Amino acid sequence: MIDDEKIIELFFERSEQAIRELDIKYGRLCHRISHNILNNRLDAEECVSSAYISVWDTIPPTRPDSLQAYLCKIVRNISLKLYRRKTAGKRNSVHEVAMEELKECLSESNTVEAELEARELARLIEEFLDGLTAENRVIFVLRYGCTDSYSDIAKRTGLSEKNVSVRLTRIRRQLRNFLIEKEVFA
Amino acid sequence: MKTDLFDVMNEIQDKYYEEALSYTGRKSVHRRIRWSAMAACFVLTVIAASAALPNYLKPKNPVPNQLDGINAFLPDGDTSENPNGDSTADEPKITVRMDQICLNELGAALDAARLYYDPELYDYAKWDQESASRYFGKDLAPAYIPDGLALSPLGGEWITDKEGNTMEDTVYLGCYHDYLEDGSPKRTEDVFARKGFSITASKIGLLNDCIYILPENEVLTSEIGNVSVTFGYRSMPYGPYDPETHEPSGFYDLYTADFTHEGIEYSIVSEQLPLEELVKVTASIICGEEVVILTTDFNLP
Repeated sequence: MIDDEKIIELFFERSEQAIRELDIKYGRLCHRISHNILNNRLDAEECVSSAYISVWDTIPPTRPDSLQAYLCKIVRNISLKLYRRKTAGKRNSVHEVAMEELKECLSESNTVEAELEARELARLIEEFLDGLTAENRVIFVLRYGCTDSYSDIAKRTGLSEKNVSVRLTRIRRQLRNFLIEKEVFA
Repeated sequence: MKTDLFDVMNEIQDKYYEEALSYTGRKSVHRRIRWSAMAACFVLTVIAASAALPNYLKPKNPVPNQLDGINAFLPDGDTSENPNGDSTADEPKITVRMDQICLNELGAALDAARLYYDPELYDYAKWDQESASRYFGKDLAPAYIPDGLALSPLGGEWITDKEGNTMEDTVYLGCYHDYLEDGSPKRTEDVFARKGFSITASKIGLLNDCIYILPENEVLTSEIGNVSVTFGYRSMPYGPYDPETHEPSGFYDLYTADFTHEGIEYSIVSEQLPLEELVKVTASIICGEEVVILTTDFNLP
C-alpha cells in the first residue's frame, strides 16, 4: 500500500492507477461512511465512485494535506446529498439516527437565532472540540462526521457500546451548553 | 437561518477527521500486548517443556518424513549432515517442510492508520542501523535474502514522550528488486507492482497502517522453530484497468507472515515472490540462519 503523497503524485500525473490505489487504501472506509448514511450498498457504491471522480477532477490543482480527510469529506457530502434526495423522512440509517441525536442540541430553542453562516458555526464547533479530551473528540467526529455506528466506534476506541453511548449523550449536553454560552441560542 | 449541524460537520478542519480516522484506541494496543504476553508465555512454556523432557522423546537428527508438523530443527552434535544425508558444511542445516505450511486466505486490506502524535508534545527520531540494533538487540535484516533483491535503508520513527516513554517504535525494512531515486520500491515492468518483501518490527506492538483481514473463525498457524507463524495469502489485482469492464490487467501473489520472536513482533509482506521465499526469509529470522525448504506443496483452507 503506497503513501498518500505517492497517490497524490499519481493524480498529478493523471495516472488511472491513482484511483485504484485510492480504492485499495480507502475504499473500505469510504463505503462504510457512505453506507452508514444511505443504508444501501448500491447507493453507497455510486457515491464512492462519484467521490473518486470528484477527487480526480480536483487533484490537481488541489493538493490536500490529508488525502484521507479530504476524500472522507467528499464521500460524506455526496452521500448526504443523495440521502436528502432519496429519503422521505424514513428513519432507516445510522445517519438518520445520528442526525436525530445531534438535532437535540438545537431543538429546544428550535432555531439558531443569529444568522450564523455554517462556517462560523464550524469555528465554534472546532473551539468546542478543542476543549474535549482526544478520545471524546474522536468519538464525536466519528459519530457525527463519519456517521459511524456505536459498535464501529466501540471497536475503534476499545470502549463498550454502552460507554460510547453515554459519552455521546454527555458530549451533546456539553455542546448544547457551549452553544448557549456562545449565545448561538436565544 | 436554521443551520444543520450535520452540514457544519463538513466545514470543520480536516485535522479533526484525520485524528478520528487514524485513532487506534486503547483496546487494540492492550489486546496486542495481551496476545504478545500470551505468545511469550507460550514460547517460554515450550522452551521449559523441551528442556524438562527426557532426550529420548526428541530423536536426534530426525529425517524429514519423521517430523511432526512444521519444524525447523537443528541437528545435535556432529551434525553436518542435512536431511538428505549429504555432508555439506556450507549448506544450510535447518529444514522447513513446506507441505505443512498453513495458509489463511486474506480478505481486503483494512485501513488502520496509526495514532497521530503532536511533534510539539512528542519527540521523533529516525531509525538508523546502529540505533535499531541497540534498541532491538539484534540486526533486523534476515539471514536469507532471495536472489535479485536488495535491502533498503531502515525506515520508520521512534516516538517518545517527554518522559522518555516509547509511544511508537515501528521499524520498516524493505527488500525489493529495484528502487526509485527517492528510495521507494520500483514497480516491475510486466506487472505494475513491487517485487520483494518488507519487514515491519516492533517491541511494543505493531500499529499498522494496513491490516490484511484474516479469517474470522479460524486462523491457522504454522510452527517454525517453536514460533507460531500466521501465513496469509491474497491474489492482488494490478492495473491498468480496462476502461470498459474495469477488469485488472492481471493478478499477482501477496503473502504475509506475522509472528513474535524474542520479544519482537514481526509482520512481513511479500509481493510477487513464491511462498517458499517468504518461508525461507521468515525461518531465517527465527533461526538466525538460512534454511532448507523440503517440499513445495501447500493447501489453502
